[in-house]
Amino acid sequence: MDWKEFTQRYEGIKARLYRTALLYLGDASAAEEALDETVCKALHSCRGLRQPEYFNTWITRILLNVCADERKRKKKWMNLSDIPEIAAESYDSLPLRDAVARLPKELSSVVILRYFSGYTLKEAADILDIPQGTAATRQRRALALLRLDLGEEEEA
Amino acid sequence: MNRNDEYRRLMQELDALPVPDGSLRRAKRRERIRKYAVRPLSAVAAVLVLFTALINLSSDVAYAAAQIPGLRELVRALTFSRSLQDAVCNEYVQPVGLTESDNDVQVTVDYLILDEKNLTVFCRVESGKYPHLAAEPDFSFSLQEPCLLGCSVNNPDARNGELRSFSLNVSHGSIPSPVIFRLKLKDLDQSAADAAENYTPVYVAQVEFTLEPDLSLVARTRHFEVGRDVEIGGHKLRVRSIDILPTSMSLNVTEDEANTSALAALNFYAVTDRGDRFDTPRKGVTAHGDTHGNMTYLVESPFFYDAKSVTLCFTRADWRRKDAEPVRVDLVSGTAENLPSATRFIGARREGDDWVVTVLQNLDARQAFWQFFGGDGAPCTLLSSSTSVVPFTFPDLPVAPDGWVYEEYTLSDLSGDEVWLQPYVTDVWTAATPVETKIELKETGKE
Repeated sequence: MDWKEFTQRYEGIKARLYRTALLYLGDASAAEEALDETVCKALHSCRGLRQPEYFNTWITRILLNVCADERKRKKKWMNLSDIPEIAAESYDSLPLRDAVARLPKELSSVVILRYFSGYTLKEAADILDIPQGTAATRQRRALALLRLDLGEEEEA
Repeated sequence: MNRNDEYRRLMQELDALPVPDGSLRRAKRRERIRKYAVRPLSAVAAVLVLFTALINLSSDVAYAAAQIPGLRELVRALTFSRSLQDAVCNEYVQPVGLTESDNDVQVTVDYLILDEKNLTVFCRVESGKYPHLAAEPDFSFSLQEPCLLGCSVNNPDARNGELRSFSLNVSHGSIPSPVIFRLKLKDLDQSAADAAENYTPVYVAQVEFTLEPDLSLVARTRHFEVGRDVEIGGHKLRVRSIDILPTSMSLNVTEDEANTSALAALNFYAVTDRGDRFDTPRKGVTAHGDTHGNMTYLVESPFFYDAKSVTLCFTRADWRRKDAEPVRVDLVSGTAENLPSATRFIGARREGDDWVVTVLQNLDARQAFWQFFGGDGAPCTLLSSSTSVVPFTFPDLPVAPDGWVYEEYTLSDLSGDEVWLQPYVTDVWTAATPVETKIELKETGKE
């Protein structure tokens, strides 16, 4: 992939990438830094991308790794097993944006990709490298915790 | 407002947010820097290989492995690294056996050694057309990208037919599989002929391999939480943890925020309860870290030694005062003020849109500078730095005296007539007797 093609493809997805990073990291400055780091890493390794049609999946995965590293550095993630008994009420009492950010990362990853960044369930599963069924289960669980009933938007 | 209304409103807010511009431009610039920044590792390796080739040849480790058929040459090619030798002795090596050709140059990848932070590839170059070839490696990955630290050529003076090795280090993330390994071959005879001219490398061949190491054979990193403070040269360091891999041992430290100086370099060695000593690697990456005082220092690995404890012995620390005055270089008059005692200013010359600042540096004092600012206080970009006994920008000057080297810094984005250079080291602490701390190796989960 040459610089021109990289630029074209990146321009087509950068808004989704930024939004994803913003929801993951919670603030605009960290999201912009994550975007910079992602582009840098992607640029460095794009020669190894054999199938350019997977560019979006590939660069989003890089972004998620960058965001996860940043979150790990800040030690904000909660393990799936750490959800408290009163989780539903706790999440319900938070503003939606904060509630999404407070979800365990396995759940927030799916919900951010699906409902805020506009990926299909299959794309989200590919990006996260998990089976589609697992992604669907996590999606249901996340929506239940957030008390979101998106109905038709689910397929948007 | 119910949750679904809140969702729609949040989506509207997100849609209205401006997407920051400039990531591509900044990434391109960083990539340009990285291309230059990684390569000097090869140059450092080239300096060290002559030194290291003379040692370790008669060690017990080398003798033991020499009894294994087919691996004798491999061990001989690894005298620069105790950890890699130990890995081979313990059969921690994966055979590959892939061959690629281009323009009458044939390259065969024979073996690789892989752990979660380091990949070393061994190959052989043959050619009937080009008797003297130099090889430049490049590694990349098809999907995930760990944070690359550097890529080193371990034996750059290897001749055609001899085993060559190349190492790749990462700081976080694991090295994934497959790995794309490219080798560009340079005709040294042609390069020498061109050297008097405007030198540009002449690549006569390029080959690419898709290496698929068996990840089930990659040893798990052994992680040990420590959480202990040590005082070194009047400053406090917290030893957070230790990671032991087959090819390196990492000491993860954090500087105390109250320290009046920042740590620039740390020398130490580790001794196991059985008396085996492990020193800083002689090649490649020896330390890495972030700008928040979190650093990782590497020593050779006791992975195969069944150690129950290690004693860390700190011998030297280089510190940089947080309030250290920067050096001002007047680019018009070619003068510098406030130089550190181990640094002599040679000059500054314009090269196109960039400036090259050259200094003569005492070898005992490590590198001279690490940060660069324009007259307006804005950081300028370090395109490359090089260390040599010959100053390329001032070719009329004599070779550097013993114990000194020329350092050249190529800077871009400079506006105005001056540049400010932040010294890398201001104070050196050397231990009369090493500061020791003993650590029991009781394995814990990863950080």
